[in-house]
Amino acid sequence: VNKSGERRGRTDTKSSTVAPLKILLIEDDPDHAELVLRCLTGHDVANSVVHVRDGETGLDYLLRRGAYADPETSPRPHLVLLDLRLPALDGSEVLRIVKTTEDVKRIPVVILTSSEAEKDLVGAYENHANSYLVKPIRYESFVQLIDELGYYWLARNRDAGPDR
Amino acid sequence: LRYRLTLIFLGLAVVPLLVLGLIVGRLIYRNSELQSLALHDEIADNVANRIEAFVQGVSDQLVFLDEVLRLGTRVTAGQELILANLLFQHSVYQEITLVDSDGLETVRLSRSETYTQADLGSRADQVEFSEPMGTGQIYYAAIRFDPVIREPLATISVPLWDKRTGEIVATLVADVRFRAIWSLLGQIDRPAHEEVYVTDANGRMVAHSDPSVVLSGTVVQIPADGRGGGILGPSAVSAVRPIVFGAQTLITVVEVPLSDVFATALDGLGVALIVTAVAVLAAITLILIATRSIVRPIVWLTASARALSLSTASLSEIALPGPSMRNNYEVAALIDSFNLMSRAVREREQDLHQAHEGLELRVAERTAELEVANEQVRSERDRAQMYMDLASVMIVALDREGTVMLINKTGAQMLGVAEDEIIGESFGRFVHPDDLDAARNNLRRRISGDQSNAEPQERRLITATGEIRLIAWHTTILRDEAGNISGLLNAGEDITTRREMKDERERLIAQLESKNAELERFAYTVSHDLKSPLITIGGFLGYVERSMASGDVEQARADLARIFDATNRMKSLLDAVLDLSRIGGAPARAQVVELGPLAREVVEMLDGQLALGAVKVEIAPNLPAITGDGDSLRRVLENLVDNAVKYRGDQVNPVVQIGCEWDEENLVVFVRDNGNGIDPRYQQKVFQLFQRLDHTTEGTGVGLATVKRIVEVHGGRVWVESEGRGKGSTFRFSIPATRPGDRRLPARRNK
Repeated sequence: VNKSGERRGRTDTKSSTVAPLKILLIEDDPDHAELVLRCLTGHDVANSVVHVRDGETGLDYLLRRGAYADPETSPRPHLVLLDLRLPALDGSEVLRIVKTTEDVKRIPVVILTSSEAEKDLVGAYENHANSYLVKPIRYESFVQLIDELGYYWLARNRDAGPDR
Repeated sequence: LRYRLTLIFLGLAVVPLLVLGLIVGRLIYRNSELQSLALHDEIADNVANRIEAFVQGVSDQLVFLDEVLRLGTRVTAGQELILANLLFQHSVYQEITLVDSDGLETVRLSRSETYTQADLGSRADQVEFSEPMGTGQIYYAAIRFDPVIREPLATISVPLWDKRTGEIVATLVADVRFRAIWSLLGQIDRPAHEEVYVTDANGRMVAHSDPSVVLSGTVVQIPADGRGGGILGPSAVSAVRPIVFGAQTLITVVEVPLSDVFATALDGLGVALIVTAVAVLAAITLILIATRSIVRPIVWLTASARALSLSTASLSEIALPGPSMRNNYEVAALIDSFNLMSRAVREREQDLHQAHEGLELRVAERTAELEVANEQVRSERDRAQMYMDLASVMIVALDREGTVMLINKTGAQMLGVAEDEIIGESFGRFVHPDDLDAARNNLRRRISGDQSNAEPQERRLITATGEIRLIAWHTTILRDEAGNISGLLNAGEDITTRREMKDERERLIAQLESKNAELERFAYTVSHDLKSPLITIGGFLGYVERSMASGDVEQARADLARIFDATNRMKSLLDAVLDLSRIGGAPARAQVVELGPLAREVVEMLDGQLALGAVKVEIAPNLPAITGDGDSLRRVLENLVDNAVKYRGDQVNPVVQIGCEWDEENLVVFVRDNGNGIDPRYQQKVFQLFQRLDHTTEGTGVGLATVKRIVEVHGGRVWVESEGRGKGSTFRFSIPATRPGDRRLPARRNK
């Protein structure tokens, strides 16, 4: 896979300058977050991953509230990776708010969770999740999943653009 | 009757007779009094006439002197001679004075004194001179008492005329003695006790047959009716006659003692008394006879009637009235009527007797008929009652007012009363108060003829023992013979047990469903949360492998630490889950748990943590003893206090309070802190298994789930109150318990 080619392909559609791809990772488990980050680092996009540990902070970032009010330091992400089971504000609630807020509802949200429960799956799609991924237990599967995730959402998929 | 009649007759005859006698007696008395007075009036007249004659005689004598002697024209010596002559011939004069026309005394002669020329003075300013000089008439002066001789003297002034000139030349003034009249009074023919005397106009005695009476200056005052006031005192009457000469008046009094008057009256009174007494006696005799003649037949009639009424004697045996009674026509008629009546009574009695016998016969027949009919009715009723009693439902007939007319055995048993005890009572007293209005309305509606909505109705009854039974009622109206609605017939089925079973079933189903849901939630949570460490372990194992291959020992060691942490976390999660599952399985043990000591125990256990966070714990002194499982309740308090310490946040003076309150049926224990507080949005979430609001604080997310579990097993619930972050939070859990001193029974819980 020619990563730079994909990047180029992307820049072609938007602008001539190379804009860094930004991912917002909302994950309470630090270990899981580390795993995801390491996988994504392998694809050279680590510097553009913002990790927050709860839903409230995630929303703050997306809606540019509180500490994330400045658009320069808190640019809109190209992708949100969202865990469902979060302390306080639930992942599904974060999803619902994001998908019902005009400014951010077009940002692709990928659910990344350990839950295989039917209710979580259905609920996520009802709230307009863009994808639902279950964290694999095996290392190889995990790495492969994140790999493909990055490839698909950041290289293949054409989004509507966060700033539009 | 006899007594009354006698009284009436006495009243009618004797009293008027006595009154009449009294009146006659009084008339007689008054008459003799008047006669007596008239007699004395005559005496008084006589006396007066004599006195008048006397005075007139004296006056005439003086006038005569004037005419014959021409006194006025004589020289003084001649006058003296004449006057001396007069004075000594007539003892009636006390003193004689001649006064000339100028009022100077020319001659003065006295019976008792001798006057010289020097004693003569002027009388010009005296009335005995001026009066005759002025008028030319004889002047009688008022009677005066001479202080020397102490006799009454009447002064008479006579004008002396000169026949030729026709002028008054002198006045002769004579003091006339009354002593002459005294003897005159003594000569008057009169009874010995009577007094005859003369007074002047002021009542002063001037003449009396006894001189001492006059000389002592006695004064009398006779009232107009002549009773009393005289010298005889009040027990006398007086006849009074005035004597007038000139301007002067004398009064003649004839005074008679009353005893004298009585003496004359007494003769007449005696006659009146005798006549009255005889009349009264005659009247009494007549009264007695009349009373007897009236009463006797009545007594006889009464005795006969009584004998008749007692029926001890036949009529023929009653003694006939004697001939003396039959003399009276009216009484005879009464006796005849009575006899007629008694005959009629006898006949009627016989008729009645016959009729009575006939009636008795008919009554016996009718009674026998009724007996048969009654027997039929009774057996009908017994059969109906038997059917009713056989029924397994309660059957109650109510009248229009809701009074029980009929109830079957089942009904009475259900209510816990005897059948006859409730009949005639209002059924309302057995109806549950909350259902009473509805029951009454329904009765009223059905009675008034509204038969819509005749579906069975469920109402609660309260039995005599206080038990509440739920009854399903089927009701139909009762009509009397005229077709009017007379009441309601109700068949009531006791559906209490059925309803209880239904409720119980529904409750069990609900419980099962909730258990299922809980289990599902549990399974989901467990699968999800237990998977998390596995993912960590799996992922980092891969990295460890890579690090080993590349020889990066540091990286491998760091990753291995993560793996160890994950396995540890997994172990503690598994332990907690196992723990939790144990709570749900075993029912709570029932012990008496003293919450006060329990709380202190918990604080002691957490001593280290509390000291570390400088947390102060305040335990309310009123924590009571409740029934529950001691170990479980300790874990509840432990978890709550632990939580309060853990989430004290940046509170400088963290305080945890343990206390309690009471509500209707529960003890509510609270653990209050002044720490972080909880956003109202997440207050429900904190009790969920593995749920944690804060990933910066250590914990598995099992503590509050455990608390919830234990409290629910104890039949209570747990909740948290907090106004939000930074405002502290209060965890409360309720445990069913009765407040000490509260006499009410704890509400019965369906179990």
